[in-house]
Amino acid sequence: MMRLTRAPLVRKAGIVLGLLVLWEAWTRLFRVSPLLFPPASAVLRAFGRALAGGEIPGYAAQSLKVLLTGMAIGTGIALVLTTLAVTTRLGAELLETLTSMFNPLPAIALMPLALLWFGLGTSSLVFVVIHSVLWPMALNTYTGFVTVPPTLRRVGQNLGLSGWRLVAGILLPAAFPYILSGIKIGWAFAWRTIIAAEMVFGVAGSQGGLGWFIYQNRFEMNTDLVFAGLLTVILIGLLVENLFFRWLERRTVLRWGMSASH
Amino acid sequence: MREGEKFVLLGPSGCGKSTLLKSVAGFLPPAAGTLTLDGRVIARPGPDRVVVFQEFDQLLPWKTVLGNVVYALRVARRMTAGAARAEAARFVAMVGLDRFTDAYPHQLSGGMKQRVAIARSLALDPRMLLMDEPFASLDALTRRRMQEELLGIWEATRKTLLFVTHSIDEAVLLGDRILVLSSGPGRVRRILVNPAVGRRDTPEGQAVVREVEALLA
Repeated sequence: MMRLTRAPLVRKAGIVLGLLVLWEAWTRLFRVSPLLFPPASAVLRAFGRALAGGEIPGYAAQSLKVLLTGMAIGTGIALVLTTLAVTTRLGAELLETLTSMFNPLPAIALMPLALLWFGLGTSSLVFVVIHSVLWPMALNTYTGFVTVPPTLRRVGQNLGLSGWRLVAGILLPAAFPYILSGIKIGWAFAWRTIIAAEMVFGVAGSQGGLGWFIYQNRFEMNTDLVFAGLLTVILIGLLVENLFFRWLERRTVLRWGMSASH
Repeated sequence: MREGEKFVLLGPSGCGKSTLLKSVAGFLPPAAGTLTLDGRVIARPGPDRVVVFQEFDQLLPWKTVLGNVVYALRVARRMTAGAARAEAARFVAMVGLDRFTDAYPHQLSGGMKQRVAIARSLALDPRMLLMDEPFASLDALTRRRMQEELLGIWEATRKTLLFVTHSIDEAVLLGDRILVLSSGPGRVRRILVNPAVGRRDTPEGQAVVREVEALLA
């Protein structure tokens, strides 16, 4: 059992290791300029230094802080919109119109407007993150709400629940598999958006984010640190998706035997 | 309906027996006339008329067996957490699931799920218990066992029971009185006083079964 579950992981680690060796050999054999493509060892050393020196953790924390703020606000708005949509007909039409209009619009395309409205700073970043999270969240949550078995809804009404108490007590947990997949999609969009947006909006206040870290180091020709920044973006993405969301699924939908069938 | 009786609505599918139960529950307004409970008109669903549905997904999948009952008690009877747990444990034991209090619904068989639903309904101490073909999705053996158990539980609680079924056997086993409905269009054929409650397999019970069969033929 252990062998079976661990084996793909071991092989994947082997693939990563193999790529690193190829990368190192290629840069050394062909004497590639470290300004364009530093060897793997240099990148890992730079990553280690920036990690130990607190540089990367600081920048990453800033990115995550802005991202979580945006996600929280976006999720809140999505919940309000979907609650309206399941309780009133006009709300449903409003939600359908808004999502079909704004869901295809990339968050990056809103950056000039954000710059105009909020200037350089955290507000602009939060704004684009909200946009990237809100629509997939709303869409998924709404699908979750409408697919709640009618019997479960009746059980709630039978207990005397109605309005927002029915939403909070029955519909939200019953729709949780869909909400969770909305959060996963929202996270994936938001993480890509914030890194890109930080390169445009630069530093906000005293501390910039990871996108800014990458951009700034390119400017100073610290190519090894540019790579180290990219490595951090990848690692955080992997950690959140493979550790945090897996853990959350084991604690919730898997334990409850619930799943979202798209 | 009378206080403390087991009243069965019997008829083929499409005769409106489930619709009538849903009206009593307050999910649907009656097409004509009014329904009253203790002199008050039934206008909306409420925990004084708890429904046990046919569907297995009537349990909250994110709560354990005990959690399902506790949640209902806390919401509908506004009990404190401690009191609700004690009360819930009593009713879960009554339906014979005390070894499964911490199991989640997806880990239970169909019969066990229906038992939890019955425990949850009884724990709410309603004025009326409404059962909408609760055993229709069970296999024949489990179904028979659940019918006997329901009779036992009813003896212990004496709740006024409105039971919907399309099974003549089930109606004769459970119903003090049986309202026989025919379909297309839904009409009341007769209200039958059943002298053979709990004794369907006796000659007397078989006579009632034949009488009902003749009514529905």
